[in-house]
Amino acid sequence: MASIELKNINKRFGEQCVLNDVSLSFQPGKIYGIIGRNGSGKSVLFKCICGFVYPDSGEIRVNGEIISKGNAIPKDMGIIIESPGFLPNYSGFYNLYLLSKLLRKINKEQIKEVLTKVGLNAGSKKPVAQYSLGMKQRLGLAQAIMENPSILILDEPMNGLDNDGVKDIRKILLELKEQGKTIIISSHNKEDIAVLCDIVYEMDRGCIQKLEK
Amino acid sequence: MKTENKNQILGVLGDNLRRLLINPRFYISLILVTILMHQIIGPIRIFCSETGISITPWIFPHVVQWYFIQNIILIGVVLLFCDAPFFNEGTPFLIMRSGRGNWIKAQLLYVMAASFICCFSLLLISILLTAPYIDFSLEWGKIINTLAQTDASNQIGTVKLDYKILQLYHPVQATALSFFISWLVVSFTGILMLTANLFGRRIIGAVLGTALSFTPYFAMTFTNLYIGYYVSPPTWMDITLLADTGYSSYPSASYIFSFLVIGIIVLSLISYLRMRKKIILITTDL
Repeated sequence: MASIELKNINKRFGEQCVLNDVSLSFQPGKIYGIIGRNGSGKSVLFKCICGFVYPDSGEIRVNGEIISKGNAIPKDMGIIIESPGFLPNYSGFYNLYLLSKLLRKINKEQIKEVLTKVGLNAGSKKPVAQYSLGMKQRLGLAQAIMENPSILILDEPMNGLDNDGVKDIRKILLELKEQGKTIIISSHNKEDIAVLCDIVYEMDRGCIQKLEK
Repeated sequence: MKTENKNQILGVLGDNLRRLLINPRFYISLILVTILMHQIIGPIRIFCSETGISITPWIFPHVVQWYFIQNIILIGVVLLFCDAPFFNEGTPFLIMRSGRGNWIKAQLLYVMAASFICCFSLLLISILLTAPYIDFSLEWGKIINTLAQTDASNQIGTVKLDYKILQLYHPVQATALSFFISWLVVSFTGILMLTANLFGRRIIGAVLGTALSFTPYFAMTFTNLYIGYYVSPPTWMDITLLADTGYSSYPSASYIFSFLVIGIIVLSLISYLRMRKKIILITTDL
């Protein structure tokens, strides 16, 4: 069964069509890349999948649950949408600890493991306000993967990372793919897409088409 | 309520309260009201110094009785809640874990909690402004009685305290009642702004809140008709208006409490239903 299915999704904001009859299917154990210029509709597509924006027509199913109607937010999904935002006066660990208390799926040790995995110092008391862009991005990724979701929606996950950071994150995403996760990323970096993605789609003015890799 | 829903609501609420404590607008609001309160209480502190008599800590119900204080408190509330429903860069992470329903419940609870914190801060400030001339007695004390029953307030350059408050209420009762009503009025304003902003642009809530903050002037202008007092929640912070007999033309206590409590409940329900369909847009303008 597909993790995510989109059928005939349409969305307009005023006169502008941002999603035009989009139909897609995302399977477990694959990394999908979505590329396109700014304003092509990538972010709106991601927000529709996350339940932040409702399509005007069409159906979206995530793990079998319809989320294009009603007030559903898909469960078992980790996201990076927009710039990752955290409480600036608290450390990365404490921020993730506060988030983990909402679902209570993981403990403090597991949070520390995730922070180490993304290349952050789990014991650091440095407040997030003093983090570099790359560190915030790593923390955003840690937030997305810490509860072991089956689906990851990552908008520009390599943003702000140096070469070593990019390599680390690519390695993590490939490991997660091997675990059977469904991963959808957007990126302006062709190398990221080439190295990571099994299937690539291009968006242009709300329309989507599959690219030959 | 299921434990998981409770965890999610409390988690989101906690996030909002932590952001409140680092929000400059919270402190600016308090400073604005403190400056104005000082205009009233400063001369009283000097009076205490000159007479050698300390004041009891029950000045709050007398201070919030004044329309200009009510106005500035509500202006501070508008400043504090103008970014309702409080979308920020951390919102996506919270909503993915809590869901829309629990998230909006947490925002509504946040408005009530932040309102409580604001009103409690103002109560504390009213006491601290009289320091070090504070007499922790449970009575009204000589200073408040003098300022309410003589023209001493005129001589020292402050507002006349209302003797009716001293006649009708015990000091603890008066302070608790005016605090409770103030909290309800501030909560009502915040939730009204939150609800309005869910239906349109954020400026709508700010406009409504600001309009509400000026209704005490409207009530005063139409004093003869009394109608202004029925549609001016800020004026209800003046506990002398609570009609104690059937002959009063002012709103009764049951009207005031019903208006505020039912208003909060109805607006909360509307917010909850609206949030189920609302596009979640993250902005960091404020």
